[in-house]
Parts: sequence; structure tokens; C-alpha cells
Amino acid sequence: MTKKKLWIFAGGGLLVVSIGLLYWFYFSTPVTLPADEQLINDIHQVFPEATVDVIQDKIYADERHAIVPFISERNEYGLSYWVWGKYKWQVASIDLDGEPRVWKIDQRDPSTYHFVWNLSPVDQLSTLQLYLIRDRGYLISDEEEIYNPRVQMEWIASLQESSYGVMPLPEEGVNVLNSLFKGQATQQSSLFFENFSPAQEVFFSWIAKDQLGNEAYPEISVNGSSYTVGDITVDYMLIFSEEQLELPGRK
Amino acid sequence: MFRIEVTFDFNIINFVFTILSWITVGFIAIKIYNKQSVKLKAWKILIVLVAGLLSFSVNVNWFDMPLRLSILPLGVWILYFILKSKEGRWERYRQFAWLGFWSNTIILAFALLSVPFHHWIYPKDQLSTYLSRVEDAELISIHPAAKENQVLQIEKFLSQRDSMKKDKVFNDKWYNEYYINTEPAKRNERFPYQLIGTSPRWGSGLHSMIFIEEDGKGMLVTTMKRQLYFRSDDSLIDGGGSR
Repeated sequence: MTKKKLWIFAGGGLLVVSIGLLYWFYFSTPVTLPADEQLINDIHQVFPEATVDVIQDKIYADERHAIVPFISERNEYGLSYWVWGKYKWQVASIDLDGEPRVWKIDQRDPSTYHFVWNLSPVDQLSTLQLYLIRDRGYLISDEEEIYNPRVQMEWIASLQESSYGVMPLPEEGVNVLNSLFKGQATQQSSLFFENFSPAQEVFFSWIAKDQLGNEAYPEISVNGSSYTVGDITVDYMLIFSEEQLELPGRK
Repeated sequence: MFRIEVTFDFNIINFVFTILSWITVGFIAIKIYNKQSVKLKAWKILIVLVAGLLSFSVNVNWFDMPLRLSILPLGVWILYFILKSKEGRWERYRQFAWLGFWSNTIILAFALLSVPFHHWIYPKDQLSTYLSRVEDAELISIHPAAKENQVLQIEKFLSQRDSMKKDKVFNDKWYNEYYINTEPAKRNERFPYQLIGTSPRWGSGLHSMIFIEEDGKGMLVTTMKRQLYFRSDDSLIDGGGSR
């Protein structure tokens, strides 16, 4: 074998190894989240004020996204959001209050939306009611009449067992949002432009109930700061009162 | 699943008319080419045509149809400044550059022409245009006014689809009942169900949201451009639960 050939072989080998390394670096399959101490360390590294005391759980939204609820030394019930990227788990955002929010892992894909919460037991809540709302709308002119039905979808979670929870947006909600989004997408790709976009009127909201089943305002759970490092979308939900709901059966 | 949805969103009329507008531009380009004594390279003509497309445009409403009109030939100006440096070069490319600019208008004209064709092939006031394939239809309750476990009676719907009557959504009786006589917190929703998993006629590209009335007899079809309301004689939904 000549020297030249040897160099070609060595070069080729090096190329294969570096492609492999790059592939591993960017597309490596996720492993489980590291141990509690490691997680606490990672959180404190980006946000020392969190003073995490106890890790409550590790919940996977999917293979590459996880939520870790925790309790701080000041007894705050918080949430941390973890994303698998570049060969390790990285904390993307930390909330020192566990007020219900929606983590939109992929904003354009409602099937990746997750409700997340961690409500302090001090607030003594029993259930959490989550809503997808679109306000009713109507327009009457000489030429046409348009009526947009109200959307009011409800999902209920119990807070008795644990203070925290992660709930993927249920399928009906995903379907309704998808049909609204799709209408917008077809519009944008056309030659003509349009300014009528129903998806903008859609929002999420929540109501908490106390042990007696009365509406409650969880004062402790809604106060706290957040710190975001990564590129993630965690949206607040509107706090609602029963008065804002439509309950046809109500007396 | 996703693939099927994509094919059913496909607007064949738009596609065909866009191709036709390109063919027209190509035809004019060949005419110009044949007339010219100096033969330019085809790829150079193509680049000049594409660059000529660049323009400043305004959005105008014409008979309720929002259109994008190209008014300033930016591409042509840029090409002029680049090409004029060499004696006689601009003169050779000029016609193609302007053709590029006018292509905007040709494409728009074909798009306008496609509208009546689209109406003709996919009648906008027929329910079957919007609800062609219903085999995988699913009824979702979107409001507490909905009854539980309701499903669409597919056979019944298909037999009544063409005889359902177009109606006005609003009437005084309903309006008074809902908005005047009922306080907000007790309001019912008149259309508490949404129908999903259906497809419009193939090639129409018409995406719509379909809501079903409380009594199961009304269908409200909402597209981005218009809304249609149809009534049937019998209820099309049933509390059969599992099919």
C-alpha cells in the first residue's frame, strides 16, 4: 500500500467517525433524566434563586421533553421544563410558582400541548378545571350573516393525590384546534390575502375548587418568578370564574 | 392520515391555472426569442424572467376580492442598472425583463379566471362540495349544551345530503331567545357539536369547519370566505354511542 492510499483510508475513516460523532451529538436517542442531585445542580446553575429542596417527580411529556416538579426551601411549589438536546438533558425554564400553564412543545402542533401545574397544598384545593374557550361571535351585514359558535371544552384534574400534574391536551381539543389552525394555513398559502382568522380568539383558562367544591383563588400558588433559558413556549392560562362559563343547566 | 388530508386539501383548479399561466409566459418568451436576431442562452433568459418578476405591489379590494397588484417594476430597474454597463446588452434582454414583470399580471389574470371555473366545478352552495367523504366522520362536543355520546348517522346523512335546504342562520326568534331573554351565564350553544374527519370534494382545496345544531337537523359550514347553513327534515345524529 502506498503512502497516498494510506492517507485516503485514514481520511475516510476520520470522516466516518466525525459524522458519527456529529450524528450522536445532535440526534442521539434520549436517556432517562439524571439523578435528583444532578437536576438540582443544573437548576441552581442557571437560576440559584430557585433553592430547590425536593424533587417531587420526573414526568415525560414525550421522549425529548420532561417536566420536573419541585419544592423549594421557601416551600414554593415549582416546575422545571427539560429538553433533550445535544447529548444531554437541559433545563429550559423554571417556574417558582405552579400556576397552570400550557407547554406548547411545538406551537403549530396542538397534539404536543400539555397542561402543567403544581399547586401548593397550603391553598387546600381539591380539583382543577381546565378549559379551551373560543368566544361566540356574530356578524350581520346586508350581504351576509356569519355566526361562530362558542367553544367551551372542559377537562377536570384531581389535586387530592398530588399537588402537580401534566396532562396532554385531550384529543377532542387537539382536533378542534387543528381545524382552526388548518383554516388559517390554507388561507396564508393562497394568492389572495384575508384578515379573518378565528384561531386568534381561542384561549385556555382554568378554575380551581377548594375541598368544599367552591371556587377558590389559590393565592400562594400563583405568586412566584420564572426564569427561561431555552427556546420554549410556556403560556399562561387565564384564571376564570364560574360566572364566565356558560352552564345551560345552571339554576 | 396526514397524507390523506394533504391530498384532499389540494386545489386542482388553482394548480392547473398556475401551470397555464406559466405556459402562456413561456409561449410569449419563445415568440420574442424567435423574433430576435441575436440568440441568447435559454438559462440567461430564465434568470432575467425570474428577476423581472420582482415588483412592488399593492393590495386592493376588487368586488370584495382582495388582489395583489404589481405596480413598480423593481426587477426591471435592477436588471437595467446591471445590464446597461455593456453596450447593447440591455436592449437584448429588455423585452424578457418586462415580460417577467408583466408575468405578475398574467398570473393574476389566470387566477381571476380560475374563480368562475372553480365555482362551476365545485358549486359553492352545495353541501356535497364541503362534505364529500364522511366515512371517518367524528362528532366532538364543543360545549356543555351537547348531549353525550352523539354520533353522525352516516347513511341517513348521505341519503339527505342533496335534499337539505339552504337557510339563513339568523332569525329574530332565535336571536331574542339567545341574546335578549337569556343571561350570559345560562346561555346555551345552538351548535354544540363539531364534525371532524370529513373531506371536501377532491381537488377543491376547500377547508371548512362544520358545526351541527343542537337538534341534529342543522349544519353550519364555515370556510374562510363564507358560511352556509343547511337544514334537514330529520335529525342526523343519534345517541347510539359506539357504532
